[in-house]
Amino acid sequence: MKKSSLTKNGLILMMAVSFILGVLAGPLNAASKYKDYPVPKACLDAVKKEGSKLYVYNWAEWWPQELFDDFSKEFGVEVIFDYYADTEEVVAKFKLNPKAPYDVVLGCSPFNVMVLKPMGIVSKLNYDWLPNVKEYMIEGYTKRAFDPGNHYQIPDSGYATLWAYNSDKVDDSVPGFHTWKFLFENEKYAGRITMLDNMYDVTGAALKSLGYSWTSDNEAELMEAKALILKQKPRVMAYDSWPRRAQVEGEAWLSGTWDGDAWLVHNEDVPALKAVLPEEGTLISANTDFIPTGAKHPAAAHLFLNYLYRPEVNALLIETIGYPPAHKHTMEFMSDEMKAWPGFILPEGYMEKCDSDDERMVTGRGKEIRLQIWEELKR
Amino acid sequence: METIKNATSPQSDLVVKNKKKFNVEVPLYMGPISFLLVGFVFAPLLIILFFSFLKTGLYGEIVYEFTMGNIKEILTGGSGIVFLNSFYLAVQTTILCLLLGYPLAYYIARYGGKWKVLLISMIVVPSWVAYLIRLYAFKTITGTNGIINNFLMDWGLISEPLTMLYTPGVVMVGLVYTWLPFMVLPLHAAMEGMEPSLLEAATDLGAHPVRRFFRITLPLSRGGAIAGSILVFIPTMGDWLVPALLGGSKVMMVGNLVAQKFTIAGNIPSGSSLAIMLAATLILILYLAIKWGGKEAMEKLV
Repeated sequence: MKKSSLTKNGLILMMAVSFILGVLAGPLNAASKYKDYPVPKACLDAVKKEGSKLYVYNWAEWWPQELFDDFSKEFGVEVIFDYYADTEEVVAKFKLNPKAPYDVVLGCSPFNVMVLKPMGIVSKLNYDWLPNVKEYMIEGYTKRAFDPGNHYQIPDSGYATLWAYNSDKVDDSVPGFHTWKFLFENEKYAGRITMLDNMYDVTGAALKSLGYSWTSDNEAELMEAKALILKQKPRVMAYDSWPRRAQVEGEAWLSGTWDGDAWLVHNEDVPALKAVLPEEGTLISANTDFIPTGAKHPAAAHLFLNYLYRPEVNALLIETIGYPPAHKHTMEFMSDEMKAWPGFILPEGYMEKCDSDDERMVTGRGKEIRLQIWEELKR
Repeated sequence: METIKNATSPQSDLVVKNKKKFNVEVPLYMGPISFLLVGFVFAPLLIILFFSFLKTGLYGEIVYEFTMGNIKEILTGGSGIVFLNSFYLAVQTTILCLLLGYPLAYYIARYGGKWKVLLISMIVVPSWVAYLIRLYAFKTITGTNGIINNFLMDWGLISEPLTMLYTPGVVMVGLVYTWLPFMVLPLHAAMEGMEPSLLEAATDLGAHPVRRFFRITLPLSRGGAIAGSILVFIPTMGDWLVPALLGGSKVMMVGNLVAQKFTIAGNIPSGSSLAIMLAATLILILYLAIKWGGKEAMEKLV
């Protein structure tokens, strides 16, 4: 009697464990129905010749550590990390030391690459060593004007700037709610608004709400945007690029943010948080990875980027960071709730209203005027 | 001749020996700290000074050509108001710290008795926790759903939560809270060293307590007050975390501006010259304070 109950309990336990494992590994297992294209032998030989090392420069506490551990285990490559807290820090570092010996820089924005490339800091990619990327990249990402064919950088995920609101506190049935205009001009929620602490996003959103391009470098348009931002300032509670605490504590009801960040807060802390994909359009850009020219182990970097585009690895990454994938099939393995989240799958025709990365925003007059606006705003 | 030479030789030997000993000891004691200072304070400052006279290219890359443009731009551009903002906040914080810290230090030094150590450690121990963590704790305390609001609401003292976080008031409180120990400690040290018999003598000679305070206590603690003011003023002037975290990053301090020039603007030479200007301003203020405060301030500072 006793023995049988023991076996029974054991069986139940085993079933429970395998069920949990199954649930956890579900998306990852499903991902393996798509083939992995390994790198050619020449690349693997080169990795060995270089000494099987990879110097990674990445955001602090963002990507899953598991991804790197699995990579090192599978290929016997030792991964050495260095972290940054802001992509501008990456740019400053390469300016001071153009030959900084990192093999791969992860999670930058295309605007960083645009600035670094003319300085000769970004090296050209060898697509023979990136078969997964060639196969699985979403086509739209290969056609962007600043780097057609992605010869200098590889997007690992996309991002859209939008705004989020707490649906318990905010009435979203007002006409014209789902717009940038509402975020900038409503007076009802004064003192409950946070905006991104980033001059490009705040000016861009203001330009968009006025019907201009996000990346405009036209002085008259930018001055109009400035007037709008200055008028909004008294109603803004804080300029904060990661307003999670304020959202969780119920202080911030409307927050300018990015799709993935809003998703993480919604998914983990505040179920009532909802996102608005503004009707006027927004900036659609990407989190992008590149190999600097100072890299001492470029083959290992190619090996890693190809590994990153392996379907199950990409699914793990996207699940953790919560940004829309640049990989064709990854979205299929995500939860329905994530698929419905604004920004992950764009509505028909929305893309036409959006702007993409343009150099005129981060160089010359476009940048100078934005800096002036920002300094004046924070007086 | 020879006898004289012989007679003087032991003494000259001694001198040489002394000199030798002296030579070994000084580098041994002073070496590591000089190395640290030169390597990690003076060398970076020199590098910054070097950068501040360079040009930048279209993409913000450093162009190795001499220019005075950066300095000129700071003197003529809109940075002045940011400087004044920081200066105003620093002066305000220093005065408030002095007003709060002076009586505190006075009572601890005079009437602390056996509790003195405990009282002083109550001031010092909180500053052992990292600055950033304390500021986050401050956010939790003053937030809309924070400890103060919850307490007041529970007791029915208010019906609507007060808005404290992200106001200029909380920035000021945060700054005073952070830097108060730096004011209290030198003041306490100055008052601790005061002879109680001086005050007794003053009373015996018929001095009114107010007069006694202004003639004896205040002049004797002046050095401590100046030292404390310097220690509070300098870090507050360069502070940028408190306005960013508690003030909601709505107002820029000089520190923010330097950081912005380095990162967002991507203009390293311009950021460097701004940093140099800030350092120069602080050195000037320090110089004036020491000149005015004299030797006692220096002693309390060190």
